[in-house]
Amino acid sequence: MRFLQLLLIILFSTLGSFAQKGKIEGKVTDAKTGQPLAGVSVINKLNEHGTSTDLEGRYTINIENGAKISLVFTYNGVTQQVDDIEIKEGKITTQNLSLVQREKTEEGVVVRAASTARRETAASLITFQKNTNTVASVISAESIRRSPDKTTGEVLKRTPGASLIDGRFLVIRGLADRYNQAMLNGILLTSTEPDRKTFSFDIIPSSMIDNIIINKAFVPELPGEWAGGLIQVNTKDIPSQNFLNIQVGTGFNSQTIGNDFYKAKGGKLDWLGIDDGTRGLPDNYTTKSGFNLATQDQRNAIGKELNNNWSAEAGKVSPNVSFQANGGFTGTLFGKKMGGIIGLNYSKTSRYTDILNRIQTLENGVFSQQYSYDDARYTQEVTVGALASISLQLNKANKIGLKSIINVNTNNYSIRRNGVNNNNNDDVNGGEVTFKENTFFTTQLTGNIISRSTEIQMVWLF
Amino acid sequence: MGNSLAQESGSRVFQTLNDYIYTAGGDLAYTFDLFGQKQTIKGGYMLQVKDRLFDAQLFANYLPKDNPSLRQLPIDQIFAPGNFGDGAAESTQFAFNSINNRNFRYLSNTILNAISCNLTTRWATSSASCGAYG
Repeated sequence: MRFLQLLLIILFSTLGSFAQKGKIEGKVTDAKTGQPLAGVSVINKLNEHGTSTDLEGRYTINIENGAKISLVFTYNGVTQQVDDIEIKEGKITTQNLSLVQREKTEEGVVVRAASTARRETAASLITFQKNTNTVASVISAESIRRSPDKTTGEVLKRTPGASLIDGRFLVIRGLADRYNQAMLNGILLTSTEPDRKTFSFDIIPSSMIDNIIINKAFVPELPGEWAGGLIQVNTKDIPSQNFLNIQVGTGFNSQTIGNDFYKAKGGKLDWLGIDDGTRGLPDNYTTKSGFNLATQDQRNAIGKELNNNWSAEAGKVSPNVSFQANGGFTGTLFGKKMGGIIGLNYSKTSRYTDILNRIQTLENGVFSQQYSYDDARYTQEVTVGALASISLQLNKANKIGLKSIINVNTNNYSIRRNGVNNNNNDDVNGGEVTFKENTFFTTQLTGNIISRSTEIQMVWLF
Repeated sequence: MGNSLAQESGSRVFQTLNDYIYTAGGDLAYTFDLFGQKQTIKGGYMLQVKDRLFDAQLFANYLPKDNPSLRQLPIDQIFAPGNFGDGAAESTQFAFNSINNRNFRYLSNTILNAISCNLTTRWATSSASCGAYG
């Protein structure tokens, strides 16, 4: 089936930023092991101001002027300088570093030669790839920020070996979506479709992602119920600064706009993708076994009570709508550093598909047609989602976080069918109206403990 | 419209699928110096409980005895409450019933306990792993 689709998207986007200063953030890892380094001193060479990295090796520094700066990293008697870091006013610049630690044979303080910002960012990525004990692809927040992608699905399709079907289902290394498994912040995700095992990657906005790791080989500490790839999506916790992004979009499809669009009568909350009870079973229906015990008269009474919306009626369709808002905040609670992000997204899309639906058989050299239907399918898809994440840094060694995601994904469609059923010589003129509502809710509590004296790191989750 | 229950015409399907996944676990990493090189031992435990409830209810309207004038009514009028009869074998009005199948309802549960350990050495950048689940 092939149809021509012309899509015009007008995107209005507003970017609000509370901070007028530039900011630099990044992660310092050990060049040999790839482990994050906590307590690395990071100094801005211009004004000698600085900070030190936290237990995940992360740091943030405010920069007064939009210029090129140099940072000096010092850890365990090793000093390494990174030059040519370009700071844009009001923007966040990411500068990661993989630090080469002092070898036992080296004496005294070691000062390594200065290198450039670009080379160091690439080096950190290479260090990660080199040090993982598995075959994995990594997509960092930095590369997501550079791309125009809106959803996790769009981000994932840029990975080698991955392709996207219907804009949301992921095929990895040629293995269909049901052979892949998705995880969110270390927790296995359920299927988002009621009739098959898959995950719809358009429900997580890309602005909420910190990184994505696609494992292509099994590791002992992660679930093994996949064959193509294990997609680990990790969302941001404490943002580096307050932010608010609002994006409103609209578009239309030449196959739907201006033409008749058939839709069944629905409830008041259809625009939110939620059925308000219009399509539900009547009050006099109790349970499945109760129905089976009822008399024929009682059953007919239930049949009469059911809504009588069997037909899809022609109407005009409004343009597609999409709305996305996400905000982040940082602050202190009881003197502890805390932060969080909140995101909302909504989209409504209308689609028309013309399907030629036939079954033909070839038996003993005789070719026969079972049926031939011409199906016109009118689909309206609604996605509503919200994400909230709060993290609290108790001290240098303890961090605790709470994350919740709720998502409603609804497919409301009608099919108008015309054709012939050759099995019983019937001319068929029929239809189908369906409302498929999919609600997804996850909440998790995680903690991170690091003991520097014994170098024990512990991660727990619920 | 047939004179027996059929999913092909005059039918309605109500189905729900609920998946509940509960996960708890922890990972521990210990780094130490041995023979002048950094060695890392990692261990982890995971408990995962998965529950699934599936329920489908299929209904259909049917005509116990054929009634062409009723059968040819437009789709928005055909199933009006007034067109339902008593469901008797000789009735020419609609009757309502459910299509039953034992596969239309199920409940499933999985409990997974998994432990893992991993030793990464730096002598030749090698690592050894183990895992068990049940």
